Amino acid sequence: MTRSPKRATTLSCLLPPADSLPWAPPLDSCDVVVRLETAGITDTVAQREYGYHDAWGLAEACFSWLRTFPASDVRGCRQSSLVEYWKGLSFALPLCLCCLAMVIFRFSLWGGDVSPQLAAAVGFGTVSSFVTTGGVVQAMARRGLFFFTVHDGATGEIVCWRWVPLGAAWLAICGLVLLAPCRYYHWLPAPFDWIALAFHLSLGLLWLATGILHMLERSLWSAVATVAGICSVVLFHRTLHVPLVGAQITGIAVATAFAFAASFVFLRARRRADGGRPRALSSALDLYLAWPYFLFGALYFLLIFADRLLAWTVPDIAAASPVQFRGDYETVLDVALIAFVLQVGGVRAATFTFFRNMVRSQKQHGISARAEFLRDMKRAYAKNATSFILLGAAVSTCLYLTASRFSTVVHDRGGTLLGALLGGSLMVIGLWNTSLLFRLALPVDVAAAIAPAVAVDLLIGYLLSRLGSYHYAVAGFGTGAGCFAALTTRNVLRRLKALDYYYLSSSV
Amino acid sequence: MMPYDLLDVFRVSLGFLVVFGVVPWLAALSSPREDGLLAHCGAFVRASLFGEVAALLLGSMRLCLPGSMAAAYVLFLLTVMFRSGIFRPLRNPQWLRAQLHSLIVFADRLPSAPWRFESAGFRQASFRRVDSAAPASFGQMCLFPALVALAACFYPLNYVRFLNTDTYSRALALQKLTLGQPSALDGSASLLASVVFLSGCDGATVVRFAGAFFTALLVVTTFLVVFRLTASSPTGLTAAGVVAALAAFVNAGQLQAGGMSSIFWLLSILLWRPSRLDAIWSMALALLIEPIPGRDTILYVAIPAAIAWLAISSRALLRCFEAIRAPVALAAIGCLIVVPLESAGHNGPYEYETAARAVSRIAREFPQNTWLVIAPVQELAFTYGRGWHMQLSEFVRRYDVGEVSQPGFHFPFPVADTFVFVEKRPLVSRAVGSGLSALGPRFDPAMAPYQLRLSRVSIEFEAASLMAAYRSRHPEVRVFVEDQNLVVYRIPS
Amino acid sequence: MVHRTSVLLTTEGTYPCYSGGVSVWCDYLVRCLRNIDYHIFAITHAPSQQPRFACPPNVTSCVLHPMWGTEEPGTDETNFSEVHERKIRTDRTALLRRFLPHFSSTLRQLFSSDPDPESLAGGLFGLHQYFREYDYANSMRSRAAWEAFLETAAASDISLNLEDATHSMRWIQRYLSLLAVRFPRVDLVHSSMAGLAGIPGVLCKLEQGSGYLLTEHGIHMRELYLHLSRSPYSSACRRFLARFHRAITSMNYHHADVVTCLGEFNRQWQIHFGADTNRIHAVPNGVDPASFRPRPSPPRSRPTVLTMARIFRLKGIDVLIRAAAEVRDRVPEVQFLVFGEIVDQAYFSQCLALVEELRLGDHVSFGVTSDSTSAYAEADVYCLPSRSEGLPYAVIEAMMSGCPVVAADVGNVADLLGGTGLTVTPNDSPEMATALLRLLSGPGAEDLRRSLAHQALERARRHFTIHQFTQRFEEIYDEVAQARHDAVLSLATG
Repeated sequence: MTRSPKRATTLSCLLPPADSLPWAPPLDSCDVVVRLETAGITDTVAQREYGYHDAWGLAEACFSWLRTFPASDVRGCRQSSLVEYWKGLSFALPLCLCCLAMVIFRFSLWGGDVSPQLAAAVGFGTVSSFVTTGGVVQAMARRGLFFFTVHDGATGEIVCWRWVPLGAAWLAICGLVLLAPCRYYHWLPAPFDWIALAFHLSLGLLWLATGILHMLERSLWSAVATVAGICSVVLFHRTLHVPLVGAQITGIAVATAFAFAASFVFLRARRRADGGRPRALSSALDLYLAWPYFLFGALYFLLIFADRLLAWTVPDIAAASPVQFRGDYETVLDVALIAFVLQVGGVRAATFTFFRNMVRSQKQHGISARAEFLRDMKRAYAKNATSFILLGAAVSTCLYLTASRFSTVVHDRGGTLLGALLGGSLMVIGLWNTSLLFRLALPVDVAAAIAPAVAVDLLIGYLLSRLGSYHYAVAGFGTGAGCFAALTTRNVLRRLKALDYYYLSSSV
Repeated sequence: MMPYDLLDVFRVSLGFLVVFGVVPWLAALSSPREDGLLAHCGAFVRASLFGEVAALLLGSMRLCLPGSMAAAYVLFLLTVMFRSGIFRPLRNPQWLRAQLHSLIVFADRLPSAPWRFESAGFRQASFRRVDSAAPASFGQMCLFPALVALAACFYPLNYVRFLNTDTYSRALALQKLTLGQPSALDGSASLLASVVFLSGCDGATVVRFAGAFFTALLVVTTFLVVFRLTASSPTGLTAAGVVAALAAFVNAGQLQAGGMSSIFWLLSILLWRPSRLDAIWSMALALLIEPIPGRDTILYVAIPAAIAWLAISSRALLRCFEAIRAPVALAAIGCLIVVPLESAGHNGPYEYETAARAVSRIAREFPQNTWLVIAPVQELAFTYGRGWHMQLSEFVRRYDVGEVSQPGFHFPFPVADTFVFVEKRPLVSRAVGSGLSALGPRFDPAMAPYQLRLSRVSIEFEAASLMAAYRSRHPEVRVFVEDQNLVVYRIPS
Repeated sequence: MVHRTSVLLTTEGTYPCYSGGVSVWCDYLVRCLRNIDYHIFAITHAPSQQPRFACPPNVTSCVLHPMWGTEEPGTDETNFSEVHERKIRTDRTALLRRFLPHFSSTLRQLFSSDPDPESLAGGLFGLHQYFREYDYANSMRSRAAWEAFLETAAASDISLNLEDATHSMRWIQRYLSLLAVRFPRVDLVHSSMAGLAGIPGVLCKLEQGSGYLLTEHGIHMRELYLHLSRSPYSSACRRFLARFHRAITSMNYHHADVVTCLGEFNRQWQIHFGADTNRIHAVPNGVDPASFRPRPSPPRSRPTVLTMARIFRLKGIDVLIRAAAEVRDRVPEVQFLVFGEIVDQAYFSQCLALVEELRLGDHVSFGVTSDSTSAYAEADVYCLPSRSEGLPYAVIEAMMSGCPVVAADVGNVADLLGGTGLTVTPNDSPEMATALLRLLSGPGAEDLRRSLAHQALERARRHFTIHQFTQRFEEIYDEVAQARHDAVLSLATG
């Protein structure tokens, strides 16, 4: 009994599968032959059951109707901008916990209700720790994140443990270099200069440890480390009656140890998950790649804190020492910090959204429509920038009205608060541009923008604080932040003219 | 002499070395001049003029502060280096990349193959060294100023008080200038502003040791000018010795504005031929220091000129100078050591040494701005910016014995400690002088009550009475320092 | 001093960093041909890949070239100062005058539906010469390169959108990074596949006049099509990749002096993709009969079916699991042992889920073995459920170990077995189950197993020993080297 050959269209093995795995229509008849053979349709089967001379003939017949099937819709990971916003805010969690501790206990992991000289020493040490380690953390993050992105956790771990001792050594050298003129010029009377050094070293190590956690997107654990530190301070100071400075140094050491331990665990887990052996690292390549990030990291914190340094060092014929902590000025700036934190979370969300929209736009535009694509992205950038400006204005206004109402210090220093709020909002715009430029692997643009901004900050802040009063130092911060925002915006707009190219050259 | 005196002289020396040594040297390196020595002299003039003008300008805006002066000097050096072309390679991107490449090779720890620049336009800055054709005895000449400086330091190392009335005013003006406070423009003080910032000392300490360094500078400049004019180093050394001895007798080794400006007048003579512009700058600086040249200036310039003329006109005198140069030099050094001591005596004429030491000790040992010194105006120069000062005349005017001896009375001074300086033997001071000095920037009307003997005795007597009455009610008042001339009371709050 | 033949052995995703049939073949080759000096050039996925095979003394050098996972493509990160020197040298003039002409020419061929192998080889060779002096990353990542790519893409019939263009250019940057490598002077290049690993053969031939031998195990284009059919890339990207690899493959076939295949099945595919029939020789794989031999089987209570395969979709483990369910219904005590490294974790999870669904937890087990020679002795039947194969080593090993074979009729398996095993339709679990049941249960099952095992053993000893295949390659090396030598000599003498 003969059997009539089957129709080619009944070949279910060629149809899209029921599972959710990707499937694509064939490219050519050769592709169909391969699929047929893999499904068991050899020349013999093609001849016997489908009546074709061989599998190639069958493939030719199948290709015409098979190519009309759409490819399966592969949905990527759907991430919400709101999630990104909260992730962007997560770095500020330790700061919030410190503020809470300050309210409850009247002291925190560092700082508290202390004498002006002690406050000056702690402030000086804190600022120097940020400026010193800022560059190291940025450089470490640049190299480490690359290895984690390419799933080389083993090398990423090595990178972190290589940069931490380097950072610690750099911290020690800078501490001694700062201590020498401090003692020579009596910036701070003994023993406050040693106290400043102690905070410089201990906080610097803490930033190195939390830097690793932030890089691994484990910011919550840096908050846990902060809690551990604060609890230690409370235990030592309140229960064991250790002097506050000693308790705080110990607390910071506890937080640092916790953060390093957590970093060790997470790095080791990442190494195990990625597998493989670490590759040899090149110092020359580290230098080549990381120097702009190092420069940015150091100058960024200088830009943030320069106005405070200028305010503290305003010559005061009645001051007890050349460095004088300005409590009212600090209070106002801390209030403005809240506005800054609320806005800066948007940087990560905006960057995420921008590149997601960019990829979508790339899918919609062919090569010949490149100009339209670039125009679209320019418009998207402008829209984002406008959002930041509006958000900044809204947050700043609310904060200004609220703080002025409930705090006499803030009420009296309204001008300073306005300057700080304006500077903070401009800083956020600068940071957003920085985020875009880093994503496009253009760190030199950022370094080239921040250096003049720091110079402007120092110049304006110095002149105004010396000619007027220390409150005017905030004008330096405002103008410096404005300069930073303007220069980075200019650089971004320049790069947007060939966004497709820079996006390509930044990918690994 | 106390250990901290040695520390102070070290600090001030360091400040002088940087401001008047390193900065001119850096400026000279960038100067393409034939004669290295004159290049350094020209650079010294330019650097000093810059420091003076910067301090004056910034001071007029109350911005003569460490940060602004540092920025000004950095700008100066960058400008000088830019004009010399040192920064030209920076315009060549290949040069920058080559420097980065060197760093990368270093980081790689590989011996790098010689790297040749492919593009033109890179020029190495040539660094000039000191002219080897300098006078053969220049090496010996460095010894004499060093000895002069050491000799002139003898007095300030052992005594804190000043021997010239102008010096107190200069110290006070310098302190006000460097704290960003309103002060009258004073060219002789502005020149020292950078030294104050670099040394970390107060104005009084810098002025205290400045005389020695400026005397040494004057001696060097005298030698160079006379040598240039006569081509005879014995003549130059003789002239330098005479000038050093003159400084000892006229200013007790503490050069005033006249002596400082003389240095630059002499430099203008030295630089007139080789660089007219530098000579003009030197003259300008001399005028800034002392707008109307006084007796000291005339002496310090005329004597070397006269010696040079004598040497040129008579070969016999030239030979004479050869013979007397060594004794003159030695005598000058001896004068610098002995004359200030002899002229000052153990105390006075403007301040007791004990008073000066006491106020220095207070400033050193007690936290800044937590104490008040009630003393005559001379102590203000040591106090300003470090603590509070009240004129003794004001103190006795404000309070009387009856009020002070009331039970429950406390001096209402909002400080932790108050120190009252009472002279057991009121000082005999010279009168202020002619009306000419009264118009000068350094005339301080606050000095007036203390200049006439009778009024000073009266003030001191009243002060002693007040303190005796207050002590009777307040046993916590202690004697801080006391000798046969002076007693300092310490009143804790 | 006797001249020893030097051979550059190029691999991609196999020896010495990965396990698998091709790696085993390479290892056999370098170990057995001790009088050949080998230089290994292995294209790996990432720098973290380290060699798994120890190189014998006749391996003079072993260069691992990671395709991905480096900061910049084509950069030797351990010798960065040299790289930086080239970067400084790579200026706009060099890009425009020396790089772009070759790059554009290469792109045109890569985009073409009918590429010219000579033009493509010329373009690649020109780039290779250029990269001796200038930096790869700075050149390939330059704006000029991107503009040239866009221009060529716009002129082609592949409608790339900007995202596709970005992906495609990135692939080009990475795939062509081996153009920046300096290859040693060798007599002969032996490539283990017709893809990117064959490019060094073409370059050495053009530069040094080396001979070029191309060996294919699986057909590169076939495997590419299979991979693309399940890839998430857009249609345009897949078309581009297919053209790219087709151009490279045809260039390799065109320039190879000799092309070897494992059997007739592969040969047909090679001819279809442009290989010259006269240059194709069949050289089947072989195993060491001293290592793989029939051994006394240890007592076992359960009938055992063995599969030795890496776990990924082409190996058809899911087909085996479905067949196992049917066999279990008839032979309740049967056990299926699957020994192999997990390559595709997602696929492995699906297999585990299938085992769970069919309640085969007591019957199917996965693992790895360090003693593959003894593993065959512990099995009653060897089963190969693959969807695609060349000439699988596992089957030869099973034959040589005296283990009867049930295999899917893919690749050259039918030729390999030559009737000494049972072949089934690929992807057909019921047919596979039926074949297994013939050997495991019912009357005459044991006799059938013994008979097939004996025949398979005889056949393996006759055709598929290691000595046969290495000797054959040694002869081919000599032929190719001699032919090139003669060609060079004739050129020199005019």
